[in-house]
Amino acid sequence: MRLCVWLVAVAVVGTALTAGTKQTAAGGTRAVAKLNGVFSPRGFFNIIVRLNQMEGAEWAKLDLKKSQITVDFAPGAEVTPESLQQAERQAGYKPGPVTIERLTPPVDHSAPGWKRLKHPRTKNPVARWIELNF
Amino acid sequence: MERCPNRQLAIPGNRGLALCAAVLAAALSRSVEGSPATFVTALPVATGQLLVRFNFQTTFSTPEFFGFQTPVTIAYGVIPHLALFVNLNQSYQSLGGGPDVAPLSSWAARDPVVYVRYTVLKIDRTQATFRITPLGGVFLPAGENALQAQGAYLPGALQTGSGTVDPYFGIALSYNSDAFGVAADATYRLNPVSRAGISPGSELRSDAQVETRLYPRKLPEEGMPGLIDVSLEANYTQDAASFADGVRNALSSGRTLKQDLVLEYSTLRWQIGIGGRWPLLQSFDSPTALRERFSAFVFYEYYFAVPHRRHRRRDS
Repeated sequence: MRLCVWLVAVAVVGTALTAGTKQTAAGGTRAVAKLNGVFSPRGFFNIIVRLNQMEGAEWAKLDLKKSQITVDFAPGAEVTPESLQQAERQAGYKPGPVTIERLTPPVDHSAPGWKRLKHPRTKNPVARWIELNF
Repeated sequence: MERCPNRQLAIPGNRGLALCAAVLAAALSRSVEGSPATFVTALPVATGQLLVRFNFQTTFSTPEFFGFQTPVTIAYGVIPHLALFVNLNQSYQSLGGGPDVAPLSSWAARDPVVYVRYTVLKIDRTQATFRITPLGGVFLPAGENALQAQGAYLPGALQTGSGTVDPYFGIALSYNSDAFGVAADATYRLNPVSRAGISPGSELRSDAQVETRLYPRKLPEEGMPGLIDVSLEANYTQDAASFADGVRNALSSGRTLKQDLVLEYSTLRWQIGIGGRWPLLQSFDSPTALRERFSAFVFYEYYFAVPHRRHRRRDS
């Protein structure tokens, strides 16, 4: 019973976290990475796995036809082309060119392809796993 | 119905003994399970990614064979070039039976396989990739290779393991673009001869696959839609002669070629597929070997991310 209550609580908290605003605060940074070797949704998930590990990465836009991923970072996050390329490399792909620009408001994430990135912050590793994957 | 000392096995009464004798002579160690439903992929598994694939596969063969298996494949990305795979399998199989005869049947875990796959060559381009990935590992003897009824071994189709640690190695390669993909693999399972029970012969497998996107025919300018693909896969299997209690059974080798047609739907986090398999060639040394008629399968694949470390809370 306690486990059920605990799981429901985690799910509610996770939903609340992901259902937040669809905007990145002004002053953030946008990185646009051209991808090599990614041709399917699974390939994009490979890269999402690595972006979830990047501090400050808040939103990612997945464009299959352009073979491109756009990542919006929170204000103050340290972003370099090399850090994005390292994420692509760890996902198993040859990195492509990355451009970085400063975000100017308003920034809308309601267009097709935007996904909110998850950064579990709970101490419990099981809760982190659930928050990250469900 | 009597119960065999082995809990996994249900055996018929006396009226089934004639059937036992008949099927023991035939297909002593042939398995009609076909593909382990795990076409070895050359596609990358990201560092820290966990992929879990659930399969359900049924098989109908002559004479009066029915079986299903539920393999679960787990893949983990250790480093960008190296992935660890574990394939667990549980199966049920039933042979014979009729209005007055109970079938022979077994339900047990099959031999799991653990292997690593290393990418030795990758050529990544925009929306296309070519990869070559050797692999190597072992089958572990978790299944049974000495199931008996009335003091005689059951046929190989009802045994669930090889009884030995079997080296397993091979190579997979693939070319994929956003519109189509081709892939091939070749693997070899070296089955040492066990002292007791039935030792299946070593097995060479070779698969080739071509797939293309059915929907959407034209990708949208932005975003990532779910994709529907159709896949044609040919599976060739060559089994060497098997052994019973260390004695070679000369009439137990064979070659099969089967054709799969698979429909798949894939999204960012999961993939589901349904398919059928038809035999194109079944060449066995024994004229009474089991021959597959049709096989159907469904699979569901889900991708997990493994949290590596705890992210710091940010003040905002």
